[in-house]
Amino acid sequence: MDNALLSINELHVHFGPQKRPVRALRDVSLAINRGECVGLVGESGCGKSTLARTVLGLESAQSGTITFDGHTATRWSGRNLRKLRARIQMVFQDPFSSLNPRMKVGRMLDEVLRVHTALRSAERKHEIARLLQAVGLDPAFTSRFPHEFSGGQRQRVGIARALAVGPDLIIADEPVSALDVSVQVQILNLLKELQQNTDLAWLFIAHDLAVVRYICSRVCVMYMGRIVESAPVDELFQHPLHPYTQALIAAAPDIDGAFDDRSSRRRKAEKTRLKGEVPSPTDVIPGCPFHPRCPKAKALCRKKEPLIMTFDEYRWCRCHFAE
Amino acid sequence: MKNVVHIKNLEVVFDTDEGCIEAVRDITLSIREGETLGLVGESGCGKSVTSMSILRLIPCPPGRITGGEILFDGQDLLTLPIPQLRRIRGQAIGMIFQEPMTALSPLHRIGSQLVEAWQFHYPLKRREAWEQSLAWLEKVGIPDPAQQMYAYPYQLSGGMRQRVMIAAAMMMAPRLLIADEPTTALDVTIQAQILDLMRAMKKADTSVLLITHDMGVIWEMCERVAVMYAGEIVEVGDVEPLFNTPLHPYTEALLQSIPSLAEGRGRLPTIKGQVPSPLEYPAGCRFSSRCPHAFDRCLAEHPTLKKQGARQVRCFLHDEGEVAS
Repeated sequence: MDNALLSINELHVHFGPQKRPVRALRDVSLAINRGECVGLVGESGCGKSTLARTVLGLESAQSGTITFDGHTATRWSGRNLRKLRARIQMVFQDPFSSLNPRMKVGRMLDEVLRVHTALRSAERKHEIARLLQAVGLDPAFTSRFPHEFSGGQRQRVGIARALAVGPDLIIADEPVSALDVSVQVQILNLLKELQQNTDLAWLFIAHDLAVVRYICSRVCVMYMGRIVESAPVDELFQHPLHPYTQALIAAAPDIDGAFDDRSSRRRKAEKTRLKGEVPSPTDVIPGCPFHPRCPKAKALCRKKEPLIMTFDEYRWCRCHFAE
Repeated sequence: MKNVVHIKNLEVVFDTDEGCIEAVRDITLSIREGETLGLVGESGCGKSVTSMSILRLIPCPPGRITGGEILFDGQDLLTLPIPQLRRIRGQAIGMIFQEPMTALSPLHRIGSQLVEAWQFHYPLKRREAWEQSLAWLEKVGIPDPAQQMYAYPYQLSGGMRQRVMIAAAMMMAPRLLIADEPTTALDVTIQAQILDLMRAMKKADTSVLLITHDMGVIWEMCERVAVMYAGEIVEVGDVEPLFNTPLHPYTEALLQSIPSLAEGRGRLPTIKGQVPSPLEYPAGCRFSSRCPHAFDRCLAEHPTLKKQGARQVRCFLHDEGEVAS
């Protein structure tokens, strides 16, 4: 883990008043290597986007460290932060609001190159054409405004913009959840191609487990500001350890049992249904934060917060009863 | 089997600055008694326009229903006078919307909204209506229902608001429940709870029309499914056979392009191109420009929805059957 590109250690992020803070991130540790795509899943409000924003320096941490390529990046500012941003880029969820509606695509990409690279005008033009081609768009599109594109094409522009600075890490925050199924696959396949052809690292935030399974090599599951389970993707889906992960997988509607008996599958899924809803992040829950909804909670879970139980470098879980 | 609602050749257009846009055309679909029928398709394909037309909720202008009929109990809902239609809305046909925050009045407490519905349809005293409403809040699993009767919608979570909507729709024991993307705004674990609740609340003779873009939800909830593409129904059939052996190339491509939870990581096939804009639908089959099987006839002629055994398909590859009605 020492040569990881991004390494986050025991990160805590609080919002709001000191007395009764919203503990958005609690003791989050995560490492991403070059060329790896790590998925971050969880329900709304669990802290996925806060984690992304903290890595980018848009939120400041209460405690903990973020190390990027050997440099501590928790409290960067000014020039260093700008340098960091050239190496960590973001792709946003909504391809409509994340592009400037009054800027042609060519100018948008040109601006990025002008700020972050030393390329001359002619070279930039060349580079812009290359970028558009790399994301599957016609280089002639440079003179178009965002409103002239479909949702999928806009998301491609967003990806081209992220690639423009030649980053080492791209954080993609729900990049396909606003898209239709048939367009979603087009973008996922583009991301997959980019993964295979470059050694870019990805932090892929999503709530759709099937999408994560398709695109990521490793997954972290978050619940109420904590990472409750981390595992290589196949292991996570075949042997989820944390009861929350198990419930999340069971709850996701999936057509893959298409040849199985539907009703028996449904009954099995209903057994692992979670009761209740995610508590408010300001609530103080003694013991394991998941115990009020956990179907397997015991007395110990109500008293003591579970520590990380490590099985392997990338395989760990925060549950008293994981095995 | 008996049909509750029979939609025949429905046609809806919208007048826009760029011209008259055909939102749906030639929609022929029946909803059988007691079944859950799924209506699936990508954004803009006309799912919601179809379902809103049943209760004539299409905003007019710009929308206009220009043809067809929707039969319910032998009467055409499209020509029914508004006062009679209002008796049906919310009672014989209930509806659940995607965003419960916009479907509930933000200015009125939950309790009084439910009581209003009761008193509109039945000659109940306020106290009786209140008790009925309270009992339904309890039935749909709202904790501490007596207190929540006094809550405003903003005080409830998304999942709880959707439970209130389900109570409001189901308490009148409707014969048809139209659910338009009821779980799209919710998290996975809450979605599972709401789908379970909808199954539990549905009586044996209640029909459900479930509109969604999620094939997984169709698979878990529905007996039959209608697939829509570019304003038309392209395939209708029982869920299992349709999912296992789709006949229309669009259905097939759509099913193949969904990432799966259970399987490994082979590359998923994509549908090339994108849905054509309603202003520039091709002359022939509307899927022809993206279809891997398209041949000359697909570009020249427009296919009709035809019967293929228990299935209905709009495709020249399966063109021998009778015209569906």
